Amino acid sequence: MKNLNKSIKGIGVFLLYILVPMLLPSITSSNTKDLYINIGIMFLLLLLFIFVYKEDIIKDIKAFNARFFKNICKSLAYSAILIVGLLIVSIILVEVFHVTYNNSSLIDSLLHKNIFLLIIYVFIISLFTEQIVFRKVFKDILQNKYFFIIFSSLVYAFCQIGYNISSTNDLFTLIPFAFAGIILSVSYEKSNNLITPCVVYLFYDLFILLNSI
Amino acid sequence: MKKEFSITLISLLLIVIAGLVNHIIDAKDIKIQNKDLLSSDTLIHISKTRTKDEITYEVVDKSKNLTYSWTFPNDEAFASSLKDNMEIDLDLRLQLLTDIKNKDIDNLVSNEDKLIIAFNHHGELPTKAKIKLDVSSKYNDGEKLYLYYYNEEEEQIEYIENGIIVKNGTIEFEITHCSKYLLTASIVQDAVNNPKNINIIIIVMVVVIIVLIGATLFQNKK
Repeated sequence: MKNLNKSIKGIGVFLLYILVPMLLPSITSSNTKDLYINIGIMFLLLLLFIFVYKEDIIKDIKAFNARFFKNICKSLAYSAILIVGLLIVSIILVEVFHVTYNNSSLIDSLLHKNIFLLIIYVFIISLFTEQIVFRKVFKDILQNKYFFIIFSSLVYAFCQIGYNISSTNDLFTLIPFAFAGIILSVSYEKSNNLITPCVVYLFYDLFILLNSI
Repeated sequence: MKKEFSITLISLLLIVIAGLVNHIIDAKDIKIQNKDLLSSDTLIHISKTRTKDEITYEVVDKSKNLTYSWTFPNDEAFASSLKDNMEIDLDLRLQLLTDIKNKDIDNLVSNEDKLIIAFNHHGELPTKAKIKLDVSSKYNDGEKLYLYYYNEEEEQIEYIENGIIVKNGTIEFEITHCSKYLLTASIVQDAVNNPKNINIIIIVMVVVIIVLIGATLFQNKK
């Protein structure tokens, strides 16, 4: 019964994550008002998700803090794998398949507009919302760890660029996102702590930001 | 503790190497830009063809080995606005930035296959114009291209249309104002107003929900 409750809660969170952005203006919209509306509503959504999983999140924060240095080291190692892996994947895509993807363009775009928006959206809203939805929700529902890692990574990749797929060529751009999803899901599976993939992705975002400046 | 310290050091080293590789790739792009900015255009020939419905200006730019044409509707509105708004012979020229890198656009669009089209004339055209352009050096026949507009004020890429098919090495598209445009064979992920493929999204999301519900029921049954 406990599992059923977790699953229902998870499916509800996933549905909200999918449906709410569909009703919102694009985050890359030229209209500043649209941007604030988008960021405000996504922030409220994140607060709702945190409220739904507050007990588990508090438990994870305490567990992470208990072995803080060790967990930071592990997260840094996963980030290094993520950064180097994505660099290799993007080089292969460009050189072999002549396909490019840009995982830093949102950061570049927001960096040009407003550094405050960048920090709020990329480093808080997007980071935590994605980890709650694609790591926490999927792991709660899918108990087979291999199925969880593969399925959650594919759905994560699709949610990142699914809107934009209009040709078979665009499907190649799923690969880097799926790779990122696998690393994040493995880090969560191994640590059993939601803060780990959050910190891994935080390091990755910082790397992208430093490269963009 | 020693193990963690080693992991941290190796991770930081890998991250620094990845950063350096990224910078080397960027530096290579900037080098090409400086080299190409030195070149300047000289020889240009414009011929005009008038039919009942359209006026076509065919431009052969020998200095850039470019051939393209502009087609405007042959009506009074075009003729009168032309006098007020633009010196057509001078402003019809455009540049194809195939090899040179435009740093502003490169920051936003990483697609290696992009072709930047920069017009001499900036601003609104007197009327909608059809442009026919030779892109045979960049794209193959049958390829479907996306057309984007670079909004310099907002520093963003805006989607215009897709499905522009390369036929006999040329493409045709319509514009209403001149600035910088870019063509790509693949979508620019963070462009504004990209076409949203809602059908695929809905199908995939329904499948995901079914899998999640199925997993829930299966595990609960066990």
